[in-house]
Amino acid sequence: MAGDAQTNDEPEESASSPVYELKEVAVDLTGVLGTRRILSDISLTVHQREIVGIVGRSGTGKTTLMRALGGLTAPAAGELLLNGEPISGTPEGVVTIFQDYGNALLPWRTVAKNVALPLEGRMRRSEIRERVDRAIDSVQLRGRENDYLNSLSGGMQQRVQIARALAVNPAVLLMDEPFGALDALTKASLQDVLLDLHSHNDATIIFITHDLDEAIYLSDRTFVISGDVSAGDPGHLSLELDVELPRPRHQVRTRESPDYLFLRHTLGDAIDLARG
Amino acid sequence: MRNLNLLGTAVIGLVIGLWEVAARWGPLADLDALPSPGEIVAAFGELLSDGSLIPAVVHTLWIALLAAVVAISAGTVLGLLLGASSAFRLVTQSSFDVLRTIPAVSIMPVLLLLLGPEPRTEIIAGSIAATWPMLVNAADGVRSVHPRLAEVGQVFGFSRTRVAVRLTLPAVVPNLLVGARLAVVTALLATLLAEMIIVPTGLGWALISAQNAIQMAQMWVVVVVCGWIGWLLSIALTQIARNLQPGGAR
Ligand SMILES: Nc1ncnc2c1ncn2[C@@H]1O[C@H](COP(=O)(O)OP(=O)(O)O)[C@@H](O)[C@H]1O
Ligand SMILES: [Mg+2]
Repeated sequence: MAGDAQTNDEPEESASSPVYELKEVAVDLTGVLGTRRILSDISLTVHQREIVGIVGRSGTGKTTLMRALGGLTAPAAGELLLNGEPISGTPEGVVTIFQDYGNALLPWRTVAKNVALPLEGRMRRSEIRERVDRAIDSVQLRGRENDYLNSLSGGMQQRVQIARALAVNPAVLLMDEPFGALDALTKASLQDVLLDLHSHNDATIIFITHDLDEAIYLSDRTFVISGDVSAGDPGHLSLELDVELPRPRHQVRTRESPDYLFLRHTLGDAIDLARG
Repeated sequence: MRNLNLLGTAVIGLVIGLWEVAARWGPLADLDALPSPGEIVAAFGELLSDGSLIPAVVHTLWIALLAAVVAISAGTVLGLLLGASSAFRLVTQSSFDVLRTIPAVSIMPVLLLLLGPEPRTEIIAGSIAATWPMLVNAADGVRSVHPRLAEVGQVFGFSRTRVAVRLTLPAVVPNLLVGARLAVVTALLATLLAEMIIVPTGLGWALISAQNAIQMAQMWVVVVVCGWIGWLLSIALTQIARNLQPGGAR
C-alpha cells in the first residue's frame, strides 16, 4: 500500500514504545487580550495502543492540548515528540476529531461523500467505497449514506466526523469531546463501538471528555487537567490515574465493580479539588 | 413549484378590477397618466403587432445577460482574490472602496463620449454596475469560511490548492449565488438606465419615447413588461441557485 501513509500497517513496534512524549510543554495563544499562557508544564508519555482520557472543567485548556498534539498549534516551550521526532505541522497518521463537528463537516456533501473526503485521489474508487461503507457501518449510519448533513441530528453528524476519521485508519486518533453531543444510549453504544474497533487494531487513542464515567470506562489512563487561565493559572496536569479495569469492558458490569467505583471516587475528588 | 397563492392572486384581480372601474367611470377618469387596464392591454396588442416590443425585449435582455456574465466573472475572480489574499487586499482594497462609491449612472455620460452610442457601451455600463455586488459577496464569502475547514484539510494532509478547491471554494458557493443573483438584477437595472440616458435602444428607450409621445398606455405596457422580466429572472435564478446548492443553504 505504497503512498498510503495514513494507515497504521507498518511493522508492529513493541507494545510499550512511546507514541507521544511531552516534556514540560507550554502553549501560548494570542487573542484580543494579547498573548496568554494557556497550558504550562505538561509532561506525559503515551504508548502505542493506549487509550488515554483527559478530563477537566471547561476553559482549562483541553482543546488547546489536543491542538498541540495534532500539530495545529505549536508549543511555546518544552518538547513535544511524536514517535521520537519533534512535531512540525500536522503529522501523517494523526487524525483530530473536532469538538465543533458543525464546522468540521461539509454541508454540501452527502454523508458518504463526507466520509470519502480524506481518501479521494489516494486510492482506487472501489477501495474508497469499501472503506467508506465499513466506516459508516461502524458508526451505525447505514441507510443514511446519501443524506445531506442538514437532515441529520447533531449526534449523527458527530458520527459522520468519527467515520471520516476511521476511514483513513489512523495510527493516532485525537478526539475532542467526541460524544458530548450524543444522548446517553447512543453515547454508550458508540463507546463500545470505539472499544471494539480498538481491540482489532493498533491505534492509539487520546480523548477529551468532561464525563468522568466515560473517562474511566474507555481509558487505560486518565489525566485531570486543571487551572484557571483567565486568573493567570495556566492549565496543567493535576492527576494521573491508571485505570486497570479488565477488558473487554461492559457498560453495566464494569461500572458496578468496586475498582471502578474507587477510580470514580478518586477522579471525582480530583475534579472537586480542581475547582479550588 | 410552490402552490399558487389563491388569496394573493384574488387580491391582485380585485385591485385590477377596481382600477378598471375607477379609470372608466370613477375618480381616475380624468387622470391621463393612469390609463385603465383595458387600454393598457389594447396598447400591448398594438406594440406586439407593430413589431416594436419583441425586438426591444430581446435587445435589453441580451445586453443585460451579457453584462451580467461579464460582471459575474470579473466579480468572482476579483472577490475571491480579495478574500483569499491579504497581499492583494492590501494593494487594492482602498482603490475598490473609492471606485465603489461612484454611482454607475454618473459614469454613463463618460462612457458615451468614450465609446459612442453602441451596444458595447451598454454592456460595459451594465457590467461595471453589476460587478460590485458580485465582488463584495465573493470576498465576504471567502472571509467568512470557518477556519476549522482548512484545519480539516491540514489534518488529512491536503495541499493549499486542495484546501482551496475541495473545501474553501464549495463553502463559498452560497455567497457566490447570492452575489450572482444581485449582479443579474443590477445588470438589468443598469442596462435599462443606459438605454434611457445614453444609448437609445431597447425597453429603456421604449419607455422614454412613449413618455415623450405622451402614449400613457404604451408606457405602462413597458413598465409591466419590465416587471415580468424581473419576476421571471428571479424565479429562474432561485431555481438555478437551488440546483447548484446540494444540501441546502447553511
Ligand atoms: N485564541 C485564543 N487566545 C487567547 N485565549 C484563548 C484562545 N483560545 C482559547 N483561549 C482561552 O484558553 C482557555 C482554554 O481554552 P480551551 O483549550 O478551548 O479549553 P477547554 O477545551 O478545556 O474548554 C480558555 O480560557 C479560552 O478562553
Ligand atoms: Mg474544548
